[in-house]
Amino acid sequence: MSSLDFRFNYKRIPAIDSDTGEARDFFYPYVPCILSSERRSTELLEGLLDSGSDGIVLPRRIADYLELNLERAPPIRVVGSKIDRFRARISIRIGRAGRFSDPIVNVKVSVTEGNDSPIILGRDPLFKLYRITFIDPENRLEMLPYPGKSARS
Amino acid sequence: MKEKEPVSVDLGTVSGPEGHWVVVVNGKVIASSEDACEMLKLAEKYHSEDVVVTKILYPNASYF
Repeated sequence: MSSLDFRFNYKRIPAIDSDTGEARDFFYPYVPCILSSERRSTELLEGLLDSGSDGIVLPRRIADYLELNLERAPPIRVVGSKIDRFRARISIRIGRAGRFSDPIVNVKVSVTEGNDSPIILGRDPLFKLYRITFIDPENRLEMLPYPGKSARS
Repeated sequence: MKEKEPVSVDLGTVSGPEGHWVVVVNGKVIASSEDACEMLKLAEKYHSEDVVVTKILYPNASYF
């Protein structure tokens, strides 16, 4: 894997705070990435970096675009419920504006039937390949390549 | 001399209907839809370095 480090400011999304009814800015640890299957690649996407998720989760319509071979898998357990899912494999590159990691290949992902969640970038593989720091007071994150780790998962 | 810390890449600001996928070209939202696949197909029509497809998250939500 190329030893590129990445630093991203959180994505700013102005919205009405449902708790207060007032307009304010929300900041999210999005990471720009390109997803690929054996058949095609996406344009640049943004996925939500999530240390609470075991792996990568894609909504079904992203999988449809990539023409992934989906394999039925046991439901994902989330707080208080289960969500039906499929399994598939993709490649992922992190970065933007011409500065990208090497492809992280053969990555196992979960595909949920719904289209309502974002792309979730969980711990496997990104947190195994990078030392990741969320710097919430500054609304930014850092991804430093972990020495000796390979992108071949 | 102390090395200057690299500058963070700014992912910018985006607005649109909550829960929608949006196509952003050169910083401007040009389309939105609940259908991520349709937005990815639309994004193909633009120069790769100018376009990003992202999602407007619901405020105060938790995902998984």
